[in-house]
Amino acid sequence: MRREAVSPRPGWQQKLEQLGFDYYVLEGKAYWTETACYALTSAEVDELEAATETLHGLCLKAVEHVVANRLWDRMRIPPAWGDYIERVWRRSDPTLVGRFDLAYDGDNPPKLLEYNADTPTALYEAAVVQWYWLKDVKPEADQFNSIHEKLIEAWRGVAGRLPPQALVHFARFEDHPEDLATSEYLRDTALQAGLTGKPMAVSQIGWNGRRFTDLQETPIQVMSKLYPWEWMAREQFGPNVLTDTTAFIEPAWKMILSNKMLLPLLWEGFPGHANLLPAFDTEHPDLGKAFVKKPIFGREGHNVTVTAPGLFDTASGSYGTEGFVWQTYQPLPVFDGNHAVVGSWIVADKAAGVGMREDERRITHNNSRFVPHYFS
Amino acid sequence: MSAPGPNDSGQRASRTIKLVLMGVAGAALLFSCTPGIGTALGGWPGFWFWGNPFYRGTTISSPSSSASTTSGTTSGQTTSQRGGFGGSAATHGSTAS
Repeated sequence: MRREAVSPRPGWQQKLEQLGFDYYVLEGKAYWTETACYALTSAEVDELEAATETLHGLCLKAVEHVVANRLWDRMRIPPAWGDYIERVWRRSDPTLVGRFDLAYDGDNPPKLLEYNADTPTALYEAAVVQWYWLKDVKPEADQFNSIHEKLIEAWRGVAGRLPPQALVHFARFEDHPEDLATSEYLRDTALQAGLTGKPMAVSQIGWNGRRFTDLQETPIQVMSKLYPWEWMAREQFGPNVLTDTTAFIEPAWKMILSNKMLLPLLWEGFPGHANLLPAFDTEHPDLGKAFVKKPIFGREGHNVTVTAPGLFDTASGSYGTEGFVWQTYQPLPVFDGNHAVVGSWIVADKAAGVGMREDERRITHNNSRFVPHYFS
Repeated sequence: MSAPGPNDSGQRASRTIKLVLMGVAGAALLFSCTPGIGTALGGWPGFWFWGNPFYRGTTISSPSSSASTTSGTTSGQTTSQRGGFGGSAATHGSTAS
């Protein structure tokens, strides 16, 4: 794995905008850069692909472990939700997509930093935008990226479980560009799979006493929501979810996987696994002297603290009320002063591709730069 | 595993042109076709018979209602309460992860 300097395409901003990717600058900083790219080998792609599917398998076993042993208290999931989560898990309510964040330098096995299982973003950039970059800049090369095709296929699988006239509502925050783009892209792929999709804002979701509804009072039968389950569970309409009158994508069993308590659970279940880092729900001696403290329900790197000899780095935020987990610190590889993290996508049950992000800081966040990649 | 060949349909690498509707023209198409969808379906009484398509088994009553919510329940349209989701974003910001 290496980072290559490349020349941006003439008129690259317009090219991005033509794809509907108009948030290449976020909060005044470049979010997309094509002054560089990451070059992988075919063997490295093999390793990332295998690790991603392995981790997905471990995560499904972790869900079964939590459900079977009713570990709701440990997962900080309201007990009233346990029966509902068990029901949607037992009937295999479908999952569409998730993103594993991996520390990988090309020499050592990929290590799981965290799993963005519920509301992963940077999807459109990974699936489409970097693909068009490849076609323009490295047409002779390949890219670990079949996300788009696999999403359409996954939606076809969902459609097979729906009545022919089924309508999928896509709920999101429309004033957050990356949320809007991610949700619209999911809707795009659903349409290409033959489904009907209707967009709406999260705040527009209604409850008529029996069903969730949209602004036209149409019952919401299936909702693709880009809104975290742990937030939904604690809000006014949360208890209405338990009526099970609406199907959700991602399903509620993802609440177990988008939860940082997953990391200690995985380490307990599969100690020493090559793709896992030691993780605990206390400040355990086995962490060593270098560790990362993460809020159980946290996002975008907020409230994450890195502690190591001669090193202390922390990111502010509003998370941590539910507690923290501790994970052995695995430094990200640094290329030209940039800490690089691999976002490896799983679609349905298949590894589907990667998106590379980088940042000057050790703690990456949702505005960390997206950098295209290729492999040969 | 070796890299798929040029004519391979591609299990891990894209080989197809992505028929993306997200571009300028596509976005206009997406948005232009949406307002009528819900109106049409919401106006069709049969739609109210559809419950959660993945649902099997006994109905659980809503905490705020003792009414049945299963498919097969007929109902007239009522005015929904709104704003019961979304409040956490005011504290935490983007939902991105």
